[in-house]
Amino acid sequence: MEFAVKPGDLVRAQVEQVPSGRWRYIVEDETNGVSAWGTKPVHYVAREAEWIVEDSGRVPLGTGYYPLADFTPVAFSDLAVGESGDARTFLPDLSSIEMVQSDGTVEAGQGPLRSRGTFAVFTVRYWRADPACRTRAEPLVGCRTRV
Amino acid sequence: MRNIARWLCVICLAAFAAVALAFVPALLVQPRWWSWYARGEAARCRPRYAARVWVHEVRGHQVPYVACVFEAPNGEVQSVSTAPSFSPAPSYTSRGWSGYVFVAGVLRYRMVSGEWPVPAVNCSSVPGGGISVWVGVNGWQYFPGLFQTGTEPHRVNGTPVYQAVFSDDALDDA
Repeated sequence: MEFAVKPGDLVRAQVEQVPSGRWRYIVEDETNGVSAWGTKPVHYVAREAEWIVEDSGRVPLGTGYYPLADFTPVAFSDLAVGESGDARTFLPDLSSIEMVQSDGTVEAGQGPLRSRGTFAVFTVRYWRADPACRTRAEPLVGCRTRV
Repeated sequence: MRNIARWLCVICLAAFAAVALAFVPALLVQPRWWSWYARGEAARCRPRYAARVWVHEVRGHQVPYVACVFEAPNGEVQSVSTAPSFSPAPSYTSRGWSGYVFVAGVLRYRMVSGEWPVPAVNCSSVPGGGISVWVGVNGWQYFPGLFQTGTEPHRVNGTPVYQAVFSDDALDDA
């Protein structure tokens, strides 16, 4: 169900509810033409849709998060949400979420939504979290602290 | 005397019924500001699309959401337009993730998708650190029902190995 990808590969991902009510995931490496899909015997009602970068570095016992590792910008594109694969659509009124440390220092933040064709794009960037960053703001290339 | 009392009672009941009937329609329709909001947004929708307004409760606050929708004759929402500008949705912070979330409200949908270039992660900068990139449904304010797919690096002898994966909160396996 899993396959290897490389940094820079363009990956397309989709989750959808099939007519039986199950949920199916499809993930494809468009750069190399590799894909995988599978279904789960669950019948969720979709209340939320998300496009996110998550800190997967959890400390043991799930007591918190490691500081976020430095990563290259993640440029999401072709955001779509709709009834089916035939009716791809996009809703522009999305809630934005920044990743912050407990002291309010922003670890990663999303850029503004921009339209490209009939879909939307945005980028999540890593913000340096070292102490020097907490006293100055350097949008997009440095770090900042949420006030 | 008894007749007078009877007529007064009838008149009182009639008056009460008239007042009740006058207020019932007002209770059944949406609040006026919703209608006004919808009319204003409808002017920005494409032809044949209608503005739909709903209110979603977010952390104790009622937040209005608007979308331009195209409805089938049976009333089923078939698609949602790409109106260029709506009221900005609220922003939030999280300890664990960053990006955008769409809260469906009354709108049903069954497909979410997106694409991105796999990011490079400098695992040496933070031992134990890592990031995952996801597209999915639920898991923010709505549990259970998290289902998502994306990419994430795993650490093999200190070197990040990137994989396309999926994740959910169901206990059973496919």
